[in-house]
Amino acid sequence: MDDFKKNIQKITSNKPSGWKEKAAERLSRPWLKEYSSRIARRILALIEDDKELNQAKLAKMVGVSAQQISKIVSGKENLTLETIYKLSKALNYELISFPPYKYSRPSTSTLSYNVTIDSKSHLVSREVWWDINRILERNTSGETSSSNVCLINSKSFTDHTKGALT
Amino acid sequence: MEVVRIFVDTNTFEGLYTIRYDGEELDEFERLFDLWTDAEYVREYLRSNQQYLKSDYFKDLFLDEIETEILDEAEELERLLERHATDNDIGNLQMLFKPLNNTSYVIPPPLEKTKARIRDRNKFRKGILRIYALRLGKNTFVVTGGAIKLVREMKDHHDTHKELDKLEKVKAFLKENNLYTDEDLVFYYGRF
Repeated sequence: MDDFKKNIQKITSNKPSGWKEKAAERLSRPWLKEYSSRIARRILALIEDDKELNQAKLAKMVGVSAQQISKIVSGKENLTLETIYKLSKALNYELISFPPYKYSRPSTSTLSYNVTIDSKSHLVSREVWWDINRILERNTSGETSSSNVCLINSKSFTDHTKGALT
Repeated sequence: MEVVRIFVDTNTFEGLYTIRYDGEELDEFERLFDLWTDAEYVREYLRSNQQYLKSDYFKDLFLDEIETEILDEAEELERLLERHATDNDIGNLQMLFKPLNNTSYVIPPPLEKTKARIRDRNKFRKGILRIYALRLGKNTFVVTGGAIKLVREMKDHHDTHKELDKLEKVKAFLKENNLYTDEDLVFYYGRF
């Protein structure tokens, strides 16, 4: 045991690995991976697609240093809204998008299919409309389906794979 | 090359060590995690190895999904090891480092080659990152390197092949420095 200690000490640096401090810092900033890295990966793809663009040019367009762009594309920068805005404008690409919320106008592009259940009309997405159509094809109790409109009488309609449709 | 402490018990000197190779500014462990948490490095690495991503193992995944898996695995490995370091939990290192050749010995051979990886199949579908280390004792390991593993056999990719060479070189270095004596083996492996 003492030999092991003596021998390993002889070839071991006095300075420990710098990993521990870096790991603690990285783990205390989970947004780096969740947000900064996702933004970085999109910027990298946009630069890749534009032969005229590189990191140095982007730095000039945004008004930051090349070092800062390098940090941004590594996904290790705590980006400000101002920087995200400037990057989005420079790249002509929205790096942050906002999902619809309860006061938003329902998107007509996604909810453009009409389903009538017991004479009551509902706007649904294409995916839901297709699901209903597939069920109707299997179940003769369903009524009619044409263009992008479905008519269903729930009293006589049961989908055994998914439960009753009410 | 020189040995560098990652986290080590100050009384027994058991724990996790790594290597700083000649001409390198950073030790292997610090270097690996700097790279595996770097979105630009991960993108470049995958783009320059696209032929390997066509294999059955990866072909159902998009590049962005593989990147996410690598960054998530790096975080999970780092979290696991950081917990060991913070709690000075040396005793469980043997749970993390498993024999490289998937053979388990009752008494491991001297300076056994080992690997650490994330084994949670529910959270991580692929398990792409590897840390390679030599076992110096029951819970004492020297990390020699690591890789983004894109092939089944280490010899089938130049980077993992290089890791095999590094394991051999460090093994020779440790032997030269008498970290391979029967006395040490009896002390450590006798307790298995």
